[in-house]
Amino acid sequence: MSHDPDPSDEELLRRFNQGDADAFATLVGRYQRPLYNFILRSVRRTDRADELLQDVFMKVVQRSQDFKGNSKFSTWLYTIARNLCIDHSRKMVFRRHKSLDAPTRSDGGDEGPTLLDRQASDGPATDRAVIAESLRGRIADAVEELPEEQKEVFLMRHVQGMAFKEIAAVVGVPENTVKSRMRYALERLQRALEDYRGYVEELK
Amino acid sequence: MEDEDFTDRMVELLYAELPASDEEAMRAHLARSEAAREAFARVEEGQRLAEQLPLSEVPAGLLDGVMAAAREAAAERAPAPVSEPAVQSAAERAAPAQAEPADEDTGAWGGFLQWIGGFAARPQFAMAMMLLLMIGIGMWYLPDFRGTDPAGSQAIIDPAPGDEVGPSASLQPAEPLALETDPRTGRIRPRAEEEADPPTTPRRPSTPEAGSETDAVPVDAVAVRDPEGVGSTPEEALRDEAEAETDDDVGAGEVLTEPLADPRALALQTDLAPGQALAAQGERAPALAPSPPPSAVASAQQADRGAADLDSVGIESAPMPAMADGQGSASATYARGMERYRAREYRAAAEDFASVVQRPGADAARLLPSAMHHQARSERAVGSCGAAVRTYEGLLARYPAYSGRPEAMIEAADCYRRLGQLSAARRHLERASQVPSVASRAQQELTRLAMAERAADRQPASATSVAAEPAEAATEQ
Repeated sequence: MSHDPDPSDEELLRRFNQGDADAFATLVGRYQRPLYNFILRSVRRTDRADELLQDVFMKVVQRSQDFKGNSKFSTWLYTIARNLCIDHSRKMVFRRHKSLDAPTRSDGGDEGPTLLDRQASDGPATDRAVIAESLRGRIADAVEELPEEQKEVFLMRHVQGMAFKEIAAVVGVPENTVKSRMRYALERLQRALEDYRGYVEELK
Repeated sequence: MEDEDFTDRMVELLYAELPASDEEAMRAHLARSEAAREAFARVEEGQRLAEQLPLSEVPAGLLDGVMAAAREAAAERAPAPVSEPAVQSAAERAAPAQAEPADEDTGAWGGFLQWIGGFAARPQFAMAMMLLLMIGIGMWYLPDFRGTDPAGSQAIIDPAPGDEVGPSASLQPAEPLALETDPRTGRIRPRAEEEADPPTTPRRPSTPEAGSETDAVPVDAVAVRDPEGVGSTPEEALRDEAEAETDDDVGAGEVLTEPLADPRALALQTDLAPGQALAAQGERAPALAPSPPPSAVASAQQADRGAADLDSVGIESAPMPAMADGQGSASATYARGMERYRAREYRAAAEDFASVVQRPGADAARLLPSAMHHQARSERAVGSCGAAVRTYEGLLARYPAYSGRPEAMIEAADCYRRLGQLSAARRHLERASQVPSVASRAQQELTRLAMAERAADRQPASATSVAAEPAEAATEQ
């Protein structure tokens, strides 16, 4: 019995349901990194992101036989992840407001300088690498500060590369609404990082 | 194309999701409109920033647990490898249905028992069977379903005064108390002490409510009790025989236990000096009539046992005693009353029973409840409900252990209903409805009474309206 060298997600899930554990490993390999970043930018904490990523894939294991193939696997997977993130956000709603004294995170989840420190040290950067590192941090912060409905659209598009139609299926809104949210997210991101306009020009 | 339309589809142009024709139109508008160029430049810059979004790596080993779970799930879902032994075992599993008929002795029965066993092993079935068993046991205890009533619920279980239910006569057979009155002190003492007493000491007769039948033995007949009968008087021999017979065979309709604490009896005991005789019979209350001599009781039981009142339902009249030694006039009157009662000569029967009740002979004490009951019935039969009610009330108050008490309550209720005293009728019927033997009948009577009560409620209103109509007619005239 020959296997397709690049089987679709749905085919891999079908094989897993028939007892092929390797098919599931392939699926995990395809989706774990974008999904982890989608969750991480949604919940903003690495420990929560770790738990939620495990929960998402555990639900896939448990409910894989419920997947009927009426939609794409990625749509089904991100629907699970989105619902878990929403549940988590509801639980953490009282911790949403960040204090100026609260430490910010670096990409690795380590504690970084406070927003107050950043405001005080805002100035023209001279070192290109330092500027690039700072820009990535600011981009991550700006993305995390997006409204939830814009952020999830932005992340699904930029992290997972999902089409707008598929995003609309996950979010449950019309496709045009998804496109509008995407446009608002990009405009907001551009405004949040105007200080880096010159550097961004160099990126063109 | 307007700027607004361009803005709406700007993201599609940015991410190259437009059809070729639409893309050309969009780019043409972009070349023409400065506002469109500015707007597109903002989202384009935002997109370039978004592409710089750093992506974090998944921590190593984070999904090891998930993968282990996936492997377990995959192993469970994987179809079992079809090997030759497996095929054989599958064939063996399918075989019993075909192999068992070969064992002709146990095959059919074994299969049936297996099927029954598998069915009975289900917890739902077990619970249903348990419920059915409980219902069956409960119904078995209902006399109406059993057909027979070994517990003798027809005989007694009368509500005692104070609405307490007395013990069943069949469970607690009445036994004569081994007590007697000390003739010297007038106090009750164990009967065994009698042997030590001098036989010549006169004994004071007692009332039927207060003591046993031996208390009424004439003074000259009292002798030292000889267990073996040697030296006993003939009266005592007869008395012992009667006692033995009475103890062993307590018939329905008899008064099984007489109230020992009748205040009048106790007062009489207190007032009478040892050996003092009672007053004339005509001056005594019927309830205080002395018990007949044992000899008379014994002879009466032997002569007329089995004479039952066929007209009564669930009530057997007391055996008619025969006349003995000139003391059986009350018994004869009772017998005559019964004959007249059966002959439906109710008025004459009522007079006979009243005579027994008012002037009982020494042998009539055991007949009193039945005599009173039949007197009340006779009075009721001739339409003297007022007299019947009084007789019924006397019977119910005087003989709380009388086995015909439930019937008497229903009959008294009927009399009250005829007299228009519906509340009294209801009270009697409600008490009777608590006695299982007549409960259904009492309920029927209660229903009938309720109808009478509703009719009585409607009657005043209709009478008023009927009375008003002539008045209005007179006014019109």
